[in-house]
Amino acid sequence: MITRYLGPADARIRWGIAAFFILFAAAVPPLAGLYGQLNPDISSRFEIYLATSAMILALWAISYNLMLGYAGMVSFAHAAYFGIGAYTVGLLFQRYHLPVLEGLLLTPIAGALVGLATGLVALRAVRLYFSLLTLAISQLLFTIAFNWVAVTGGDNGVHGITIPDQLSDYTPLYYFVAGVVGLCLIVMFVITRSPFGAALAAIRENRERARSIGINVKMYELAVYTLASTFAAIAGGLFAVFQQEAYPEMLYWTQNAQPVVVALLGGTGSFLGPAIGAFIYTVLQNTLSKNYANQFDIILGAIVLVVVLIVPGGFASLPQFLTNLRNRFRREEEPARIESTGEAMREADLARVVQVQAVQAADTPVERGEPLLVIQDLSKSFGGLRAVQNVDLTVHAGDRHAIIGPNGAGKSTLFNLISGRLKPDSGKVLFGGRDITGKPPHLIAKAGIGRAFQITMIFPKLTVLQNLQYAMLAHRGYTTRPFGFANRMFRAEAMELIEAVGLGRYAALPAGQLGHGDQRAIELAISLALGSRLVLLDEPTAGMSQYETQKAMELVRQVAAEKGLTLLFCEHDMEVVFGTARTVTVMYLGRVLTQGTPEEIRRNPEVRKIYLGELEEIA
Amino acid sequence: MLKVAGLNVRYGKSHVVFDLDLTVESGQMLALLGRNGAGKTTSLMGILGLLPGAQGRVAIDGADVSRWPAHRRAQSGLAYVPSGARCFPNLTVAENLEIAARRRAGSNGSSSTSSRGTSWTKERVYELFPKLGELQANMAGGLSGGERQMLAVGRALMSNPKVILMDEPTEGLAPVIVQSIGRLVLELKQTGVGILLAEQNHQMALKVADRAAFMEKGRIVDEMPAARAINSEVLHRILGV
Amino acid sequence: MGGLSNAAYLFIVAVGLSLVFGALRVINMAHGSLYMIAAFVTVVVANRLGLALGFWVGLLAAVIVTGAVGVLIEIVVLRRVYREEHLIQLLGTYAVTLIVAGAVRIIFGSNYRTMSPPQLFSGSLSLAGYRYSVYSLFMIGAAIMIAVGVNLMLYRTALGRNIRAAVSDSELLSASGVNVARLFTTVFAIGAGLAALGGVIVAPSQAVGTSMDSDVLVLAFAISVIGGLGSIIGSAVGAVLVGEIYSFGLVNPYTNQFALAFVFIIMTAVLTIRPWGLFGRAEQ
Repeated sequence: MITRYLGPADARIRWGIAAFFILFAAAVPPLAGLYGQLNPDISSRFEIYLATSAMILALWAISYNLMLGYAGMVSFAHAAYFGIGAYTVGLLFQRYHLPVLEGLLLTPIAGALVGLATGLVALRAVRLYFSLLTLAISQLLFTIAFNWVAVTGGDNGVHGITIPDQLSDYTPLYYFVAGVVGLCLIVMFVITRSPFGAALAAIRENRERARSIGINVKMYELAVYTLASTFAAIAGGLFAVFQQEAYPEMLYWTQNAQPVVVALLGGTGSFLGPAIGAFIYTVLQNTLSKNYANQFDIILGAIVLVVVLIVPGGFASLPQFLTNLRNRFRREEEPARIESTGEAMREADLARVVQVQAVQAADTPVERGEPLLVIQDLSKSFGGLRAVQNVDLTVHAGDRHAIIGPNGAGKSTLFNLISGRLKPDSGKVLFGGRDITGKPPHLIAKAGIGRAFQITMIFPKLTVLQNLQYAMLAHRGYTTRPFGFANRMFRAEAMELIEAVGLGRYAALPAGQLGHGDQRAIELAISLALGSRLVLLDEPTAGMSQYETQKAMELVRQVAAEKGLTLLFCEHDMEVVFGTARTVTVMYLGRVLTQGTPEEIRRNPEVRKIYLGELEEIA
Repeated sequence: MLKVAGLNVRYGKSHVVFDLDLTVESGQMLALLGRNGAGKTTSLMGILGLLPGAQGRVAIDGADVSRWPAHRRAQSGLAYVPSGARCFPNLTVAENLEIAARRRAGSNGSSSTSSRGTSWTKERVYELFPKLGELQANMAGGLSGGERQMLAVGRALMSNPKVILMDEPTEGLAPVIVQSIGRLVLELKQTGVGILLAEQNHQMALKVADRAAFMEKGRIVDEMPAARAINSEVLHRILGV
Repeated sequence: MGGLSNAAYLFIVAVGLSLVFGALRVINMAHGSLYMIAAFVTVVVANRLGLALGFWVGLLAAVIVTGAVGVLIEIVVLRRVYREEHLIQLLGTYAVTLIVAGAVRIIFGSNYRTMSPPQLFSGSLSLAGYRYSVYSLFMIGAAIMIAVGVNLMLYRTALGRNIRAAVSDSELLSASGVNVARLFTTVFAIGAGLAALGGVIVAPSQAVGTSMDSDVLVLAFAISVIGGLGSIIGSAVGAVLVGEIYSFGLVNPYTNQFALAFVFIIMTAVLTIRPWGLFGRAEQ
């Protein structure tokens, strides 16, 4: 849990720190000059030199944090893309005498191409295996740089890169580097705040949920990986301009320690955190590594350990951390917060939910009463267990269709097969006439099948408002946009829906802090906000009180009726089933036992035996 | 036998179980009834010592175990039959049983616990569940739901426990098996074992339990003899029957 | 033959990594550091005590020192990250590699060190017309013995049964009366011991230097990932594959610069087709 939720007061402090940092960065050369005049035995150039390398490091680390902090990916190949940027500038200069500034313009292309190609491979795997794959890729690239002497110069690397005269002095070079870095940071900042960035946050928080709101997880991960390598290559190009060399060790995987340490030190949860980390790191390195080269590794390691184990927010969360610490020592209670009681449903305004614009089923060419979802001969086994066997089921448009059956009857598996979370062994699933069998979850979500899960599936560290906003963004296809402020989009619609379901007071709280019933309400709201034609509800009222259950089902019923939604739900509570459904299918041991109106099912002796009155004659 | 006083469980910032008090006598069974998410499983896990965020007093046979880690509580007589009949799928049936094997804890042998003196062994478990004996060399992961449930109960018995905590043992099982579990539970009570049963299936639970406690939103809201609970208003309100 | 003796020490290191991952679900980035510590201890002790005894005393000292460091790492770092996401575990153990790397340079210096094989296994041997170094044969024999030993430990002892149980459900294990914290420390110590044995065995056959931690780590990752993390057979197959590919690449003058690259190409290829490795199980 690297990122922490920050309240609005913290946000103001952070903007202050950011402004101070930018001013400081702009004023480095004059400050250094002043310092040099006051201490005649010290050259001011050295301070400017340090600030320049800190700038480059900041760009490198922030690009790393695009993956680490925003998408939750640990890569061990980031140093390789940094190195590729440097080699691009160096080799083009050495072989084709291309001026370094033109070379620098080509670094993002080189970084993006290599990042995309290697990312395609690395992202075949997820999480841990992804990290290990990046390690392999990193070593592969290093081996090429180190051993392909004919092209790269091997062990020696590229030296003697000359730069334009205008940049040959420290101060102009500093401003040039700072300008390029600043430009890159602005672009990255815009991206992180955009709907695209919102999709990344959703993926980091809950991959499964992200898929079910229509986000193609792999695609976004590949995109952010490519973006990160693009900016890393620019940073590497700047390094080659600044140091006038490129060498193979730059690509070695242990070099990743630098962006990792810097990002952690500054805080992965904030955009400029790593930049501040870069300055601290550079100062530390220069005061320590001169006399204590070996101890420096130990200090780096200790910093990473402390950050990972004790202060997960890094430098950027230090103020908050200190406050918490002080509170703990004084044994003070945390400042009063709005307590979520988990009873939002009591305050839900049903008439209002129905009015909400966002809740609108997408148009499909299926008339009311016609088959909307057709399942043919569907089967799925897990090892020896036949969870779903030869199931045929038709859900008609506009119907409220319940699936009941004892636990283990195969209801959840069936839902997972429909929503694409599982692939069937055989059989077909048709939706609105289209074959969606075995399609990935995000495409099925896009096709118009929304889902509320049995276990609560929300984005815990995003606010309630963001949960809804991001769901709307994703479902309407805005998340491919790398610009615009995601938090300002669909604000009114999301807020309207939140208030209508009774969660208005909690809009700015992280969803994970709400009570169980309220999280269920968010879950329900998300599935309604997706504008789906068919909504799958897996025990929608589990964990709600009887009153809330009634209200939630009344809500579902009204929305379905007014907005032309079709419902397919499974539920244990028979009162809910018989009160809501118009069609009931009974499943038992993976098969469809029977189907009919609630009345028919209630009277069916077989159903009574296995399910409704199953325990009459015990003991 | 098992006495819990003022148990509170927090996950991070959210408070899940509030001031839980309950007592399970030897040879008796307490049914803990409530909906999904009411805090039943969390309470059991808190009593077992599996949750770092649990605070409160837990005593087994008079000994305060509140500060003990889970394995010591297990060694001193607490056994667990987790929900979904969890077992070690990559171990054989026999290994699943051996892993919990433990001689009778607290050899003071109070008359109530040693009424049926002999302690549980693999052989006795196979006598009780002949099916498990047939399958003893098979991997537990390949068992059916009912067989796994037998294994989970058998594993709990192997530690010769004083109290067994069962979490929805009937979930997902065919009615025939549910009945046999009901009978088994009655037999176990005869041997002097105390049982704490968390259930949503109140029909089975109330038929075999001595007392019933109702849980809602992390609190026990009512407790009464099982016979009275069957027609109680609180059962109607909480479980919606 | 060179391939097989490389495979031998790589297997010993990789099997430790895989065992720790299998039981604790943590990728130990510091595994290579433990291996490096053992190699340095062996070289220092062996060169001081001479050919006859040095290697064997070194082995003992290395296993004890490395095991102790392993236990320390488990208690200070790993215990706090078992419940965290992979990200935290990777970064936490990565921090340990940085600390150990610095400490080793301070204690042993940055120079390469070498030692001779123990007297018992020096020289070479003719077999079917080829000459083999006796020490290579010893390495292969040791790897086979360790493979058998680890297998017996896992499938024939109560400790092994508990380790396998922890792989699937450590919570249930502690509710069954097993001290899981101690079990995890034990497993990590065994993993550290295996890393140490790898380091000891490699010391007489290669120069011992301060970059050997990351060199071996990368190869051990490649092996256990190719074979499937957590699988002993997988580690063996992976080690033979990697060892042979590597030496095959080295022998051919056209490819010897890229011998290592072949290993990573194979690793990438395997992971692309079977992301959980040849003998591994897909993670949910």
